[in-house]
Amino acid sequence: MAPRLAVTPAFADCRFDDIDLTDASVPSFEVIGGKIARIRADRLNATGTVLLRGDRFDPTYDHPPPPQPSETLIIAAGMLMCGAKIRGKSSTCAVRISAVAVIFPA
Amino acid sequence: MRGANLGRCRHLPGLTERMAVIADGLAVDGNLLMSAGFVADGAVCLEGAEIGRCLALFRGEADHAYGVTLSAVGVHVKSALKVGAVCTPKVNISLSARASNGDLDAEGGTVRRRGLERPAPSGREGQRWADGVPRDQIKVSGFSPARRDVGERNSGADLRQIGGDLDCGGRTLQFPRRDPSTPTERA
Repeated sequence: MAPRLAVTPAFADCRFDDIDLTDASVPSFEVIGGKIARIRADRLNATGTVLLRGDRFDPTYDHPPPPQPSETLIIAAGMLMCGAKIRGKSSTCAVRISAVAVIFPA
Repeated sequence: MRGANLGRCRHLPGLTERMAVIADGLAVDGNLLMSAGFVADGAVCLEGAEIGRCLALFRGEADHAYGVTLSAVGVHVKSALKVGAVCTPKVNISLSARASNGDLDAEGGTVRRRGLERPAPSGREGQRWADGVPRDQIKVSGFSPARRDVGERNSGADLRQIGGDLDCGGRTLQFPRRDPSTPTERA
């Protein structure tokens, strides 16, 4: 069953092997700085913004900035967002993203 | 597999080029920003995407020999499409903006239309716009001197398809050569 979250997951300078948001519904989603192996977010439904970025000045960011996040977010194995619906904005500034490398299991 | 059509298959590495972002059919009501330090080791695929405001892909960098490729056939950008100075010259853009009613800002780039394309100066370098002409405003200023003639020629070719303003940043515009066998149209 696809996850439906009532709160916004927000991470700063964290390390993840994999983030799977396939078919998920979230208010917003934020990862600022850190490293992610890959992101799967096909058919993600976000009513707010999706921020996947490094630590950069963002005048539209209306939350306290996270303490000392890394300047760059590294996504090591690509990002899938086919059919995703984002009602706010999507920012991937200051991101170093590598190619999709493997066939993802269903 | 006989008769299979894998032309749009995105999940079989090796059949297609390297892809870093696969977001076909993505729908964003606000801005889609891939700028200011965005580095991709593969193509950014946005085929059929619907962008409610601005699609910005500029001041990015290429992390591999072929540069950043934006594949966005059928993309619908409702406000502004900003792709100027995208890690030039290592960028390839294949775009068919079927209904980009807003601004097109390709400052520093090269605008081409289908049928008038010619090979980039070296290999896959250079920016390329396949068909799709915005109807409000187009900015094509700042061509690199090496490809100045390409920009001028294609801007002239597109003139009668632009409903709004055309800002070419001081460049001269020339009508393209016409085939004498085809009937001409009055401006």
